[in-house]
Amino acid sequence: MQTNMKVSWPEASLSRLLEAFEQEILEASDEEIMEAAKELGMNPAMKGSAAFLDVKYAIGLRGRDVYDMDAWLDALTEEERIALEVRMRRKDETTTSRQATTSRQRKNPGNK
Amino acid sequence: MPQRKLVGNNILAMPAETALALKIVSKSDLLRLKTIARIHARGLPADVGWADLLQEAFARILDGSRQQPEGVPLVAFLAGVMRSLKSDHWRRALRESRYAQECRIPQTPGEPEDLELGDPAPDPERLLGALQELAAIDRLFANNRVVLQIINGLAEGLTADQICTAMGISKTDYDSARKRMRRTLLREGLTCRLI
Repeated sequence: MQTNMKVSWPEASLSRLLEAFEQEILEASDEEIMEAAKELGMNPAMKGSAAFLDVKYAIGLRGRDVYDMDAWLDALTEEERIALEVRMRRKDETTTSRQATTSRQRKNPGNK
Repeated sequence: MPQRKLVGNNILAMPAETALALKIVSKSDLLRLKTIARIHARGLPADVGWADLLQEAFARILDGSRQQPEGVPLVAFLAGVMRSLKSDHWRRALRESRYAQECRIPQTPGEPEDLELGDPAPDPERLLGALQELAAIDRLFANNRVVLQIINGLAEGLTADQICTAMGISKTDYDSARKRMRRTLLREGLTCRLI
């Protein structure tokens, strides 16, 4: 029997193969799964384990991608919205002030 | 992909996470299903990922649009839902690609509307994708001749006995090779690649 795969009907071959692989994984014991994870340096029992990336939590997403910000803002009460705006403004002012100080220090390294 | 959403003051978890929290599946089941989703992603259109398939399958059973038949284990049922979703994605991809290629025939009085002639040839994108995936599977098991022979037999639709007879190997050697194959599939399925 040849070892390289026949390509006469690639889609049908691939489909049969993937179903056979699926069956193989369905029959795998819990121990085999945990062992494979350990071989990869993962500990599925640990909170935040890499084994569950994109299963329980997504990879590399920003808050805006993960949360529906519009729905969140709509759900805020008037007081909460004002408080949020004040906090954001203060944060912006602090960031601007820090950037200005850093810039001055870079220009005049002696004046600390 | 179904994601966490914050609606009102409640954060909605990802469907797979919800199923785990509801104890519908165990952690091992989740990893088993992740591996199966990654296996089926080999036969998916380019715009759909394994996580889409997995989360969508969970979402369908959680919202009740797919109901588990009696006597079918949940993990096997979810694997079947993923397979069915894969077919749906292909049908959509095929429809979209054929829409651009179809030949519209001008309508004459008395004829049904939207008379179209689709190209009956196999979809070239799917064909190329299948060839690439078969080559990738070949590479994955390149260092194991017996496993490659088994894979070749499985791709031809042969049973375990037929593969053993054709290859002239004992049942013990066959089982041992299948175990190695399973281990490689699990490692491949659980690996996470950060892009």
